[in-house]
Formats: sequence, structure tokens, C-alpha cells
Amino acid sequence: MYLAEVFVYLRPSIQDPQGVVIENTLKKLGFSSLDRVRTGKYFQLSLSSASEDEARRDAEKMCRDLLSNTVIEDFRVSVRPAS
Amino acid sequence: MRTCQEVELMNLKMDEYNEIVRRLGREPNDVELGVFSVMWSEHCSYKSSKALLKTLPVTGPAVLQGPGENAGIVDLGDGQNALAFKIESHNHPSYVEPYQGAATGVGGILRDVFTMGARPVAILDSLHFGSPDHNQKNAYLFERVVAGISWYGNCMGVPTVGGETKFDDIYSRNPLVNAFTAGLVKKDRIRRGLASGAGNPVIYVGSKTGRDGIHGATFASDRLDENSDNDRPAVQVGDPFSEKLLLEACLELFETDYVIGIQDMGAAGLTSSSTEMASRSGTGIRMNLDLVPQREENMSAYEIMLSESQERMLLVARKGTEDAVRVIFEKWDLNFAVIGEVIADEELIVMHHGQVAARFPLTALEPPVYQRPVTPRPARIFSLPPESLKSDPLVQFSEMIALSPCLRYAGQVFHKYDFQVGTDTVIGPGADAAVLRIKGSSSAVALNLESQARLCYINPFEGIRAVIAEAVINQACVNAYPLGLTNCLNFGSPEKPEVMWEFSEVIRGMRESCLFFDIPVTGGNVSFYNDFGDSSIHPTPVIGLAGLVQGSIRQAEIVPASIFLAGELCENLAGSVYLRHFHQTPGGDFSIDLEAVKRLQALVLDCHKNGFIHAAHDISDGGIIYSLLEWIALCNGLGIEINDQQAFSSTGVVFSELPGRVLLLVKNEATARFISSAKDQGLPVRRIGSIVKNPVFKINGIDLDLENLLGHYFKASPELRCFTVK
Amino acid sequence: MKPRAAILLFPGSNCERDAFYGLEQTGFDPCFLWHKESRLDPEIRLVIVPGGFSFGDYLRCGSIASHSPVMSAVRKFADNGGLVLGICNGFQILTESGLLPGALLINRTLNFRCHDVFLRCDNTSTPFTSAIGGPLKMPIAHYEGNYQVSGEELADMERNSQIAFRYCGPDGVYAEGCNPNGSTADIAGIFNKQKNVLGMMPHPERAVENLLGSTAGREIFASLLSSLEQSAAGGMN
Repeated sequence: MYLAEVFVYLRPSIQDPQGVVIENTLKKLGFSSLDRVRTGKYFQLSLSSASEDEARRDAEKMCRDLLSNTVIEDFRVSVRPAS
Repeated sequence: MRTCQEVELMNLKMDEYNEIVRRLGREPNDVELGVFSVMWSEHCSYKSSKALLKTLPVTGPAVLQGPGENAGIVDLGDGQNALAFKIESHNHPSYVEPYQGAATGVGGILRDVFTMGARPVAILDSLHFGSPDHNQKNAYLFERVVAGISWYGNCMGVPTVGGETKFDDIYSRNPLVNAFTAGLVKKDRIRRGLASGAGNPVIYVGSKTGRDGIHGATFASDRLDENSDNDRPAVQVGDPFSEKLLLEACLELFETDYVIGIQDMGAAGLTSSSTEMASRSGTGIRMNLDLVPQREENMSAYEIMLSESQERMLLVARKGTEDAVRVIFEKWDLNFAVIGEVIADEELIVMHHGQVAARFPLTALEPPVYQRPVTPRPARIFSLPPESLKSDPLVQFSEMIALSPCLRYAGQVFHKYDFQVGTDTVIGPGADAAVLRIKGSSSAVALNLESQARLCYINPFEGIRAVIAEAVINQACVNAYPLGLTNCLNFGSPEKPEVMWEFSEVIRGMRESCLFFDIPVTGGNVSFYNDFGDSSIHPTPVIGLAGLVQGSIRQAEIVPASIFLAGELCENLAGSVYLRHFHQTPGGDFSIDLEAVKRLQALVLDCHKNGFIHAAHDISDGGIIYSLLEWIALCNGLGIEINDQQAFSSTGVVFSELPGRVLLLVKNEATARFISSAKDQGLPVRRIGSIVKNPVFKINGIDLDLENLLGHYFKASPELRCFTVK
Repeated sequence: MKPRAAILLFPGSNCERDAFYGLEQTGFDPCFLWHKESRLDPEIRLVIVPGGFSFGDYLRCGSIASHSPVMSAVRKFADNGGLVLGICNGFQILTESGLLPGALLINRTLNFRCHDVFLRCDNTSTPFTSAIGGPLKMPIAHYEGNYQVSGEELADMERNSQIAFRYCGPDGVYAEGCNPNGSTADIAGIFNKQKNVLGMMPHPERAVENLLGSTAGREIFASLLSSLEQSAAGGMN
């Protein structure tokens, strides 16, 4: 069994209205070191793939097919054996 | 000298490029070429349609603003209020990214209305998709488009009060998403897109500029193909929250007299807003792009000029009021920047990094007007062997309702929209037309959208006459008379002579019917290039009517009483759901008798005025039998018994959808007066049955399985069934 | 004199004008209060936290609004027994602020829902509900109205009669399918322990005229009016 952790986030050139509002609020709350907020989603996938490579390929395909909207989003996948 | 290839990459033809060079007396630089490219795109220039659109009637006693502005405006006759309204397409973006595409379509039309000084009070949508049954992509597009509209409209706090959803596989690769907005404005507070008074500041307000949607306008003017999924830069992300702030800030600003003019930075962004405002006023604009609030780094002049980032406005204020304007926008946490000024010379001067990035006379920007070749074609007539229509219509009805997505409860869509916010929605979605009261006024408005693409496909001239006839009757059903019309003309490529002919026929029919019913056209939108590969969609003109409720608001009341059918029985199945479902054909030729429609309109309005009826309902998709079922679905525990052999004898009369017939629920005590009134108007009426106190659907003694029919009717949204009863 | 009611105004609120109109129609003297204000006028007798999408509902519904200066003032007002009514997004803001227990999650049907529902009032001896007769027909319009709270807390709330409204059928008893969002125990609205704060998903301000289909909201505003009149009379003694 493998655990894939997936981050899905907006492409750099795509506007992130949520991020802007959260950023402004954090700044108003006094977090002056904050530069920028970009939002995204996080998924944990438990996979019964045969190998780590295959698990990665499966997870990436899931990202392209469903988890992300590749028109506006990018994703990052990290895979490790499930403990 | 640029090559042909370079020019075509900019979506211009070589002769158009040569014309630009001729007008400028030199080669344009890249920024200038970009400006010309978007302003001469079909989407912005109307170069193929303008000559024909000019033939439409645009004036009338109620018209305060006709075509050419961000929205049309009609007077509501109460001495203070006017209604701004317009429809616009967002077809291509909604195919590439349905959620954001539909959402930004709603955002754009809302801005068009509130730049006129109006507070938006209603959204309606006309949606065309391929059948969602057995096709995942269609189902996905349908679901995501509805979700995107729901998100944007709900967040803005503008109720989505009506519209239409139609399914036909011709739209599988090119769905249509047309959004309509109406807004209320005091007659003395109307704003326009003007840039007058040399020296007045040009001000940028709203969200920052990014690289979103560069060349969106040219994208809208290009056909879709297999590579459209890769058209990444054209995708804009909507931010209804920013737009809500922009709306409130603008309305607050309009309470003052600081503003000279204002325009949405929609298609072609800063380019179209600045040049159009100056052109309307016979002035010029000088602006410095370094002052434009930017979201991304190292943006070029080209990118800043052509960005289609959402939720931005350009305004011209009176000199000296800049700080007062700034206070309003900063209160609402919006960006504000004076980016230039109005100049007396009719010229656009764009500075960037201390250099002149573009400079040319605005008169040179006047787009070409084309008389595209047209090739007439005869009406498309699809005949059927007569015996194919001999089956039992009642049996066929239950088969059809089980399988046709066109005959499902529309609440599966509209209950996802907040249709009540604003507390003015008296008659909401699902009715023949929506009705909104106006607080503090005796006037009320009725709004509806109509299209009949299959009829326009058979015969575009008669087809648009049918669309307008039906829309007028729908207005009458809620006791309203139309004040103005806006149109969204969805067609294939205007470079195809046959498409251009369809377009010219639709305009001819629209002109004739608008003159006949005395309805001015106050604006609209043309969406060409709805093609996928070589095939075009059916010609799909969508019209939106804004009407005035005559006298008091009449809400439908489904109670035990007699059901009358007003209008001639009709056996023509052209364009019907029935023909498409059982015979996969649009049907044969047809014609619309506008005189008869006008008599019907008068009768229905008369019935409302004299209090003859509990309810009126137009016969449309699915025919008379489906309209009756819709009544049963609205009432708790009541049913319908029909006793009229002739009106339910054949497939033709049961499933005909052509306009010109209305169901009326006549009050018992008014029956005699109703019949004599119809006689006076020379209109046939017949009592076909009655609403009864038990839940049955009986036609000439045959008991239909009502529970089964309602089960299919609510198939897409069973969870809503217990909440639909009035 | 009509009691003064303050309607909070956040960026993204969109039912504030409806609330204003509804309060005017039912005998109040409404005013707006901007989210950056940090104090309430002493004459304010009722605070309405209206519906909408405060701050775009970004991050979590109501979460950003709950950090506004005005909410600190509302907390003090409530601590001193002031009456606070949160409607829809206002309910979400009150749970995010900790003025009410529990949280509101996405509807179980996973879509926005707008239609009339029926409500049963579980506790009619509060300032918000004393004038309520039978079941109430009222509109909902929300995406996140699925009220969730731990079993322990729910038991506590039930013991304290903190359940204000539950979804029901037209006759006031539970009916199959009447709960539109999957909320725990069919809860549509709840009180705080002291019963001076009410949060509810349905919109009483949209139900004050026959023209729009229901006047059930009037029963809540009438309750508030009579409670405020009584306490004003009590104050004079």
C-alpha cells in the first residue's frame, strides 16, 4: 500500500480571489511578515498500486482526470509507502 | 511589412491589415496592432452583422436608451423608475471551462447593467446543451455551468428568476450560455459610457490586472476545435466578491455628481473601454500604463491593454473630484488609480515606461462593415409517412416523459439559484414569465427569455416570428405587455453564406414581428462562429423581453375550476419534442399567424383585467398534455379530468408546440362573460375539462398513471418534489 | 417609539437591504452598521447579522467576518443580554464567532438550495418565539446549512431547550425528505444558553408579505417587538 499526498493549486497566472481576501485579513490581524497567500486543496490517496512508480502514475492520472482542473490548476504529488 | 501569417495570427485578414496601414499611413506597432485586432474582432466590431442590425426598430415612447450603450433602458411609466436590461453570450469560455466561463458571463452582464447606474434586480439564463443522458461530457458541462451561474449570481445577491434550459445534441460541442440581467435606475440617474471634457481624469477601479483572457474577444470570434481545451490564456477566473464590492462602490458613487461616464472593462478590457468612451464623446484619451494596478510582474503594454481580467471599471470623473472618488473605492477595499486624462484631440495615446506604446487617431479605429455573401436555401422540410403518427398519444406521452431530458422539472436548475433575494420576486422561475414588484412604485416588471432553435433551423424567418409570438404570449400569461426586446443571436460562422442567410432571415423576421407588436429592440449581442469543426449549431436567436405588468400583479392559483383552451387547435408538429424524440427530425414547414397571436394576447390580458381567470399557461415544449401535467405538479392533491375528444384525438394536436394556444383556468362565476368576451375578439375557445379535487390525470375516460408521470417529471431532482407545491 | 435595530454590514453581505425592509414592515427602526465599527450605539435594542456571502465566504463561511471589529462589539452586546439574530450567513458568522455552538457544513445534497421549507418551533418561551403559533413556512437559500454538533453537546442543548427550529412537513410533524441539508436532528435554528442569541438558516425577513407567499417571518419579529416593549416598560419601573 502507498500513500499519495496531492496538492492542487491555481496556476501562477490565475487570479486567486480567496487567497487575496485571506491575505488581507491576516495582514489586518497583524501578521506583518506575510507576503502572499495562494490557496489550494490537499488530498490523501491510499493506493494498492504494485510499485511506488505505479502509485505515482496512478495518482497523477487521477489529478489530470478529476482532482485538478488543468485549465486553471497545477498539482503536485508525493508518494510514500503507507506505514 | 508583416507577413500574411503574422497578420492571421492576430485574427485579421490581410486586406484588413492593409486598411489599417492605409489609415495610419504607416505600419502599426505590436500594441497598436493588438488594439486593432480586438476592436475589429467580430465580437467587438459587429462587422458582419451591423448592416443588418441597423434595420431593426429601436425607438419607441418608452425607450430611454437604445442599442450602442452597455445596456438598453426603458421607462417604467411611474414617473421615476427605468429598467436597464441586456443579454450576452459566453458560449466559448463555457465550453473550455464551464464553471468559470458561465460565472464570468454572469459577471460581465451584471457590470453592463450597473455601469448604466442601475442596481441589478434579476438574472435570467438561456442554456443549450447536448443531452446529459448517456453523455458524461454533456452532463458535466450542464452541471458545471449551472453551478457557475449559481455561485456568481447567489454571491452577488441578485436573484436568478427565470430562463430556459434546452437539450439537443447539436450543442454537444458548442453549448450556449446566454445571460440576461435587468436593473432598476432612477430616470434622472442614468449613467453612460462617456469621456467628455478635456482634462478630466480617467480612473481605473476594481481588481488588479493580470494576464487573464488576453485575446478573449478574438477567441469568442473563432470556432471551437479539438485544440480549444488548450486555449489556456483565455480562461478568466471570476470573483463575485470583488464584483459585489464594485457594485456597491459604483452605486455609492452614482449618488454623487462626480462621474462623467463609466464603462465595464469587459471584452478587450482597457482597450475597448477607453476607445469606446472617447469615440462616443468625440474626444481622445491619454493614459499611462505604469499607473494601472497590476497583479503580475513585468506585464508588457500589449498585455495590459488586452487583458480581460474581470471586475474592473474605467470611469471619467470631473476634474477635482479624484480624492472624493478615491474615498468611496477605498472604503470598499478596491483598487483606485488615476491612469490618464481626457484630451480634446480624437486620439489614443498610451504611455508605458516613459515611451509612447501606441498613438493613433481614434477615427482610424472605426471597424469595417461587411456585406457578407448570402446563399438562400429553401425551408428544410422533413416529411414523415402519415402512418408513423397513428400511435396512441397517451401511451407515447408516458414513453416520452420517461426518456426526454427536455420534459423534466426545471426546478432541477432553478432551485440551485437564489431566486428570492431582494424580496421582489412575486412570480419566480418555472412560470411563463417572472414578475418583480418595485418597492415604492405601482409598476411591476415581467421578464422572460425565449428561443426555438429547431423552428429556426427549419425556417429562420418563420422561426423567429414563432419565438417572438411565444414570448409575447408568455408575457400576457402573467398580465404583462412588452416594453422592449434584447437579443442574443447565436449562429455559426458568418463566412458561410448559408449561415449568413439564416442570420439575415432571422433579422427580417424579427424586424417584422417587432414592428407588428410595437416592441423596440434596445440592444443585444451577436455570437457568431458557434461551429465545431465544419458543423454549425442551429440558428439560435434568443430573445429577452422586458414588460410592464398591466394593472395589478396576478399570481396563478390552481384550484378546482374549468380549463379552457384559447386559440385554434393545431396539428403541426414542427420543432416539437415529440418529433425529435420519436422520429429524430425537426419536422415540416410551418407559418405563424401573428394576427391570431395578437388577438390571443388581447384576450389573455382582458381575462386578467376583468378577473375572469385563476391562471393562464402557455402551451410550449411537450404540447398541451405536458402543460397540463405542469399544473398538476404545482398543486397539492388536485388532478385534471379532460373531456374533449377532438383536442386529444391525434398525435398532432396533443404534441404540437407552435405558439398561439393558451390554457386558461376560468372562474366558475365568470364563464359566461369569458366566452362572450372571446367571441367579441373573434378567438375560438373551448372548455376541455377541469381541475378536480382528487389526484388523477384522466383524459376522455382514460386514467393515466399520474404517480408514474410525476416520478419521471421529477426524475432529475426527486429531493425537490416535496417542496414544489405552492 | 420603534425599537432601533442595527443590521451589520460586511463586504459581501447581500440580504441587508431585505432585512432593512422586513424590519421596517414589522415595526422596527432599522439602521446599518459597518463592519469596521467597534461600538454599538446605546439605543440599539436588536442586532441582525444578515445573510449573504461575507468576504466572499472565502476560507470558511463566516470565518473572516467573525474577526471584524464589529463582532467584538456584538459579543459584548450579547454578553450583556442584548438580542442578536443571525440569518443564514449571519448564523454561520455567529457559530464561527463562538456566540453559538456547532458548525454549518455543506448541504448533504452538495448543492445550493432555494425553496420554501416548513419549520416547527421547539421553544416558544423566548424573546424570538413567544408569538409563534403553528408551523412556519419560510424560504431557505443556502449551500452550507448542514448544522453539525457533537452528540454530547446536542444532548446538552436539548436539555437547555436551545433548539429553536427543526425542519418538518406542512403539518408541523417530521415528514420524509423535509430536511433539505442533512442537519443533525433536523435543526434549522438554535439559541445560545441564555436565549438572547438566535441563529437560523431560513430567512424570516423574506416572509413578511402575502404578496411573496408567506408572512411567517412576522411571527418572529412580532415576538421580538413584544419582548422589547416589555423590557422597555420594565426599564421604566
